[in-house]
Amino acid sequence: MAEARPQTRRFRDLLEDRRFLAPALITPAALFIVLLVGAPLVLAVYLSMTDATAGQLTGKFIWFHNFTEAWHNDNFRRALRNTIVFTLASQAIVLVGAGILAHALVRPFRGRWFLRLLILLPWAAPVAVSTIGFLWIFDSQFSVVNWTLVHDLMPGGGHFYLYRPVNWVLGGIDHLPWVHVGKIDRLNPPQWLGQPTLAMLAIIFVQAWRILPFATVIFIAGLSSIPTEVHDAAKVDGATGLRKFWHVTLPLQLPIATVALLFGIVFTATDMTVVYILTSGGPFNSTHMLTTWAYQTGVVSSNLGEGAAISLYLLPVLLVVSVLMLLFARRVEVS
Amino acid sequence: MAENDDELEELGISTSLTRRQLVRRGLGGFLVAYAGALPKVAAAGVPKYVHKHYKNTLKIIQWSHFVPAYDVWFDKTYTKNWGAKHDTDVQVDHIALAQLPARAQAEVAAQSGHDIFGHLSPQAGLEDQVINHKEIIQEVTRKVGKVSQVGFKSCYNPKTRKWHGFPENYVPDPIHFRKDLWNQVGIKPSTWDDVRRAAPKLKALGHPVGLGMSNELDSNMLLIALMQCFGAFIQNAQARPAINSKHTIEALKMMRDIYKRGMTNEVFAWTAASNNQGYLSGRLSLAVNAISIIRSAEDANPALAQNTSVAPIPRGPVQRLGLEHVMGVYTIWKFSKQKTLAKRFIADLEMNYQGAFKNSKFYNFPAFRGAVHDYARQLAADPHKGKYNVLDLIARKYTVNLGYPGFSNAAVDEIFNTWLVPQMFAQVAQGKMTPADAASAALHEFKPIFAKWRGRGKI
Repeated sequence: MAEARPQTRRFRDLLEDRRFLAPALITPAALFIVLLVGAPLVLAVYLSMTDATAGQLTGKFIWFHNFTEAWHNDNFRRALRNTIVFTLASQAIVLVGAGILAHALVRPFRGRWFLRLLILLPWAAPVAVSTIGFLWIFDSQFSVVNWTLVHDLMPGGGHFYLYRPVNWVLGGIDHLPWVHVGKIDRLNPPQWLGQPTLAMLAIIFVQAWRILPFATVIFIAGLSSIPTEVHDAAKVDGATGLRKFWHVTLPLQLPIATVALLFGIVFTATDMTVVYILTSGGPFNSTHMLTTWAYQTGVVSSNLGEGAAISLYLLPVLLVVSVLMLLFARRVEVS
Repeated sequence: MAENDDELEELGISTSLTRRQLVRRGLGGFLVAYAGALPKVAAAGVPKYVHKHYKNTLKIIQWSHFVPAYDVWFDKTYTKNWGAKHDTDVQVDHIALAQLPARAQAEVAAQSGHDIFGHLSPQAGLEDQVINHKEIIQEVTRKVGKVSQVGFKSCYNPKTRKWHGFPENYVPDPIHFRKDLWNQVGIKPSTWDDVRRAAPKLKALGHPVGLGMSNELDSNMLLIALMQCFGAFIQNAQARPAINSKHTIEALKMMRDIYKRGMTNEVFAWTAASNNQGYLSGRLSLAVNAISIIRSAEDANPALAQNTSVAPIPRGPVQRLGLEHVMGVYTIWKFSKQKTLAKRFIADLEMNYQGAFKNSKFYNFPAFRGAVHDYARQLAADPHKGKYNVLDLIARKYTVNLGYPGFSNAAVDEIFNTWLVPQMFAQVAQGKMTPADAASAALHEFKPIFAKWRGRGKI
């Protein structure tokens, strides 16, 4: 009994030793990443160079044939272009929206916490559920948006149709030399998921709606971390409004905004749920992203090798983006 | 520091919770909670599998049928009775039809899942993953007679001589149209030209025709059927791509005209439910769909059902020739541990198809015509005064397999699953391509797909 105590103590000491404790705590996470991210990635690289089909995890080695085959496919190139547009456009909306929201929500006012909770909800809701909600909102036959546009909104038959003022605005835009927008036809209302441009807009909107809360929370954290002394000093120096924002708040907020942007880009470029649920790549395969096209080719059409190749087109792009963003964030931090 | 902690602890004067204490207390708490659960388990005994009294288990996955009564009969009557006879617990899972291909691929990738997989289109691309179903075909043929041409050409690969699926049923694909509206415009939809002529008048009445051009099953089926009426095909009888023809161009022109004159943009966002929803809501004047539309109307809106005619697909300049609306194909995976039972189940179901035919309300037509020997009489006996007699005609004369005039093969599957035909039609209808360019672009996409599967020895 007396001899057991030093042994227990030695074990306790080991737990307190950084050389042991640090690896012990990090190992599970490292193993998790290696097994669930690293191993599938290596397998995907291998499969992309084979002619493997469904149900096989091996195939004839064909080097880069799958990559060139994919490149020569119009749908693939359209998907690549869409992925870039989808990612950049939704992130632009998110950055601007989150910036505005964060500045509004960081100030103390009555009901601030409730409003913050409401804004967080899209992030907390399961993506499939919320996207199915939008699928119904944009439905081809029973869209609530279209219903609101083309039905008389005035009680008692007051003949107020929302599409009329919208058409008046669209008519004004149509006069601009470089823009052409159609008008809303009451009997043939816009098909939010049935026309390529509208479908892309719908997808971008829903993705931005999803990511916005995440970016807003990060922005709020960033703004809250700026010491009040800095604001006071800026005020003493006469910097107010936009000037203060441009020279003080923005530079200090930039590193954390970069983190939000990096995550947003990665989440968006690798997302397939929104597109899959809303359009399945339609109309006429015009809204496919690399993720959905890889799924369509590799899973639904049984071409595992080619599907893996398509999905890997994203990898170097995201790798470069990640490295650039981290370098940028570090430089800003250091300066 | 650690030593100090220990000393303080031994003296009982430690004030804060150390890391070690946290780990120790957490572990202790877990053990207490676990031990607390033990008496409950001891009292209740080891949890038992609820269906343990059966010797075997057979797992089936198939779609949620558009006629819900079929699923009720299948799950609660047929499989229960069959299971009791064969000392087997038959477990049936249902999923939405759009999820079937992905689910099948997932089971293949995992090499586990259900013993029997019910597809809604031939799956030649999965040939290497399934058993040869020849044995079941032979048994059923001996009992009820020959398999239909649709079934044969959907599930048999002449190149490898393998039955890559068992053709259980196929579904005739008629048109549904509103008699009042079509009478009002004074035209009957007998030919595609009739549809083109009537479309603008019907649209002006606020009731456009609804012919989908979207990434979904119904659009795919309809558009390939339309092509066939114009003499255009995905492939020829020798499994060579045949899409770039003057017939395809004519079919594309026809659809473009019908869309421009008599449809709205909603057809580009069509889903598998849109035909039913659009027609049952009273908006559409014509839809091409299986009889689930009229069956739903009979239950929910008898006046609409009364006002609806069911007819064969309109005739084109070359012929009147539709596709099956869906092709019910059962496959048994190679990884299944219950192959013998699965074969027995499929054979028994087909040889006694009367119940399936009746409970699907004539939606499922047996792929072996002799499996329901008097189905023409049953169609005539339906309470709705012979409305369904036409299904027999459609099934016998105007229904062919996907991939006709050739066999349904892996290349056709891939073209079907990647929506290349709806893409071609929609691009022309929306003015993104001329008919000639679209047909040529489609050939450009079809060629490597055929070459790939030919290279793999499947066609």
